[in-house]
Amino acid sequence: MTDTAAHAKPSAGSRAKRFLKPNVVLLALIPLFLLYLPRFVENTTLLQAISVATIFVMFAASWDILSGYTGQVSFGHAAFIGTGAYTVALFSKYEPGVSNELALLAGVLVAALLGVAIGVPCLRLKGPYLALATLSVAGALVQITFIYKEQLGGEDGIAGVKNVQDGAVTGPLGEGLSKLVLGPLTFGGKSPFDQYIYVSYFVALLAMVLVVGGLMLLGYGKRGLVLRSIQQDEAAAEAAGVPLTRYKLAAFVLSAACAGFAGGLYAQIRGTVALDLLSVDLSLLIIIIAAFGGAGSIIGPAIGAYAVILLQNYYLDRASDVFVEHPELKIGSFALLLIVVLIVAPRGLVPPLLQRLSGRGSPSRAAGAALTESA
Amino acid sequence: MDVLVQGAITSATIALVALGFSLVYGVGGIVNLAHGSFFMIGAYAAYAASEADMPLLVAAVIGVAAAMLAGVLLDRLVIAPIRHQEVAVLIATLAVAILVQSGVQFFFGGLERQLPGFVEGSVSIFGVDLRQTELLAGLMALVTIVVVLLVLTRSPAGRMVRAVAEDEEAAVLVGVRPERVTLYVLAIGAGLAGLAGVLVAPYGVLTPTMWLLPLTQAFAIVILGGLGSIQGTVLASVVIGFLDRFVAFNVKDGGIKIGLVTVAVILATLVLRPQGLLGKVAR
Repeated sequence: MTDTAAHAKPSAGSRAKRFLKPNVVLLALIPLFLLYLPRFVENTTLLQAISVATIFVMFAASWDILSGYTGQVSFGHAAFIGTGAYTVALFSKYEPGVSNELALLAGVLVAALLGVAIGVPCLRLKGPYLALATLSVAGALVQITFIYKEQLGGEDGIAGVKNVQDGAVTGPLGEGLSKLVLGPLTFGGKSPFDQYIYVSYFVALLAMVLVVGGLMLLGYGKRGLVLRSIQQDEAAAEAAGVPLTRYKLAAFVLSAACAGFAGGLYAQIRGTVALDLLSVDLSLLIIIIAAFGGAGSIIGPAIGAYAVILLQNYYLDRASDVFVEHPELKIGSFALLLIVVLIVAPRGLVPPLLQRLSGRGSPSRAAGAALTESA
Repeated sequence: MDVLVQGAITSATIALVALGFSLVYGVGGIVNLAHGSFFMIGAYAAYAASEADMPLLVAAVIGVAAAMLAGVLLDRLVIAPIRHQEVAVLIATLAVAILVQSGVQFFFGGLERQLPGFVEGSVSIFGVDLRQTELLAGLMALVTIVVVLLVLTRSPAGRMVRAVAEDEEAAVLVGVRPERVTLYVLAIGAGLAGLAGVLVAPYGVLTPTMWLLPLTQAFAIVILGGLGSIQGTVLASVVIGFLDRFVAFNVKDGGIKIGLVTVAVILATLVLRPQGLLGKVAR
């Protein structure tokens, strides 16, 4: 442990630089591609699925800055997502006068507060303790929706959340981008429902670029290295002068705030909030995404989100009617796939996640070296 | 009085779940997030068997056997290959929990189910009216716990288990195979949780998400009781069990607040007394 940590720092730094420089152009191509995609894809159902996937990119990236970087693996990320979403929904329900953006901000704040509330008792926890604590907090939030059934709707959730098109900023922004990409005439000729789909699509995309871009800047910068050093070896990091408590808590709060933001935006795009936004299924889905994409890289989980969510919300439904009739089989299949991957290739298919999260071996080595390294 | 009598029963049944969870952690260092699923598998397997017109006693045995089988499969197929990767085990067992949940949802649907009572009629204890099947559940659980504790403390097999829990390397040196012991403990722990599921099934409610509360409570018990302390586990089970019923009876809408209170206990213990009630030093 200590010897790997010792030589991990310089190599992580050089890798970050190597990664950042040549790939900035490549990375910028992804949002550009997504920006112009609606021009060529007429299928609005697919576009809707991509919007959802874009939201999930933020879920996964926000999970990663906490779990993939500092190694405080959260098994209850849905708690933050749901908190942001439900806060936004409550504003729509009780204070419809409040603007969308303000409600979203409130969602971010409440989620960040929850991040503090969970983060503080969890500061000293590791591995299984942290896993169970985060898992059970998310479970408790589900129960709160039943306790305040009248306000939070229990299993029915809350419908009629003000959507992105009503937003003072998001509305014009989304419409502007839609007109820019599609052409004003084409956009104007669409049905109101289709227009709504386009607006949601572009708002989600813009938000994703901001959140993921910000997290990447942080993650690949100096602070990202500090966060990684905590995962590598807490004692060594502390000895090197890293204010552990501050960084660990900050990662918790930042992760929670970003998740709350994405959750709130998701609520405004869906127009409803329900228990699926707080469920263990969602928390696991995010871990699945990160496992396939590779944790601790922000971009890995982000790309994983597109693959997994498009599969879940679009392609599987078209592959077989079984998945339409029994949606639970989708998460079930993903869970099974995850188990198989973990067993068959514990370090093979997802070396970054397992190497980093289990705290064995150096995550900053090249994947090839990581493969041969024994645990 | 309600709280005392029913709290005792609840304590006994959740102690069954927590004992297995605690033993598996103590012996294999494995936190099994699918432990609550054994509880669910026991309950649903017994339900399926009774729906297939099998006698209830047979159904109960099937329930426990199904949970044990699930425990063996979990150990051999999932945990054994990744035993030493803590986080991988956590993720894999959570995935198993969700897999079981979606399987139950697929085969039984999301509606609430219930098993017929093992014995009909009700009794009155200390002025508390109780369904006989509840009393039976409490007594069965109590007897099982006593047997498990006796085996653990008095038998050679129990000594082996404790040896591995205390010092795995030393246990290996004297000829104990930790993998084997982990397998047995996991199977037995699964069986105990399955038994709890079967016992509770006639008066509890069966849903595909019923695994989460027992898991949370088992975690609370292990945290509260102190890591690796069997006495602590039993003592904490009593605390959590009575708390469970106290909340259910004395707080408005108490039934749905149990989980919330449990989580509060977890967080409070972690902050105030991380080593638990009887634990010595946090690791």
